[in-house]
Amino acid sequence: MPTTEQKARAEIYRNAAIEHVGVAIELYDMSRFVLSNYVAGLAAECMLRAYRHMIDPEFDSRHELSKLYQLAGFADTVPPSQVENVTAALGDVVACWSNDHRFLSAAALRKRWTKQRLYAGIKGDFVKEIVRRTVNAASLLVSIGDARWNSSFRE
Amino acid sequence: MEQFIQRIAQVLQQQFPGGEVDLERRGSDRVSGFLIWSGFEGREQIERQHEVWKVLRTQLEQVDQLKVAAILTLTPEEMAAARKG
Repeated sequence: MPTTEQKARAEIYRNAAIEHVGVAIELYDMSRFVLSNYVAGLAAECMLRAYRHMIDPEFDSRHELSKLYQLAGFADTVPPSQVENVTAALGDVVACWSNDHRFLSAAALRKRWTKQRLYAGIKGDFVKEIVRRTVNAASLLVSIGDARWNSSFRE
Repeated sequence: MEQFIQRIAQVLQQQFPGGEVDLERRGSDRVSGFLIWSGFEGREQIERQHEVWKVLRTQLEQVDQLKVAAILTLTPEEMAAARKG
């Protein structure tokens, strides 16, 4: 059973997730792709941390989102009909976000993603397209997390 | 549960040759993990998920499908980058 302090901290993470997704969309619309991508991933991390915090406030996932997804029990909140979409969204964020992206210039991020061959299968500006996917994916994860919050932690 | 994990791994390895399957038990009756396969390169995540779930739905009973919480689909390069955090 989460304590009052746990719940309060988890709510902070949850609210941050919702705010950050909005900021990520605004940054994308301004073509600020490095920060848009970073903030979108951060939003997803905040929502996963919110869920994890309700289970155990002591954890260190080292910003490894796939691990955090498991530790947070997020999969248990996803309806079976949504598993493919939500897992795809998580895959987009895991593949295209790193906590150290905040230190990168636009050119450095493009270079890193080129090395990872993330351009494959994408026509046009692949950085813009990948960021679009990350923002969409983060939006879905945050939306699902927020929508399922009450039913997941109903007392 | 170990047998179930082995079965899923076998099914995925047959359909995604050369793929690395890394699954683990979650709680008492669910499984999650990764399918790392170079053949995913250039394909969107949603396409990859459709492909994996097409296989799982064909090969597993419905009751067993519900035991699969999430199988992330990444290329080796994406996985290497993700492990760096």
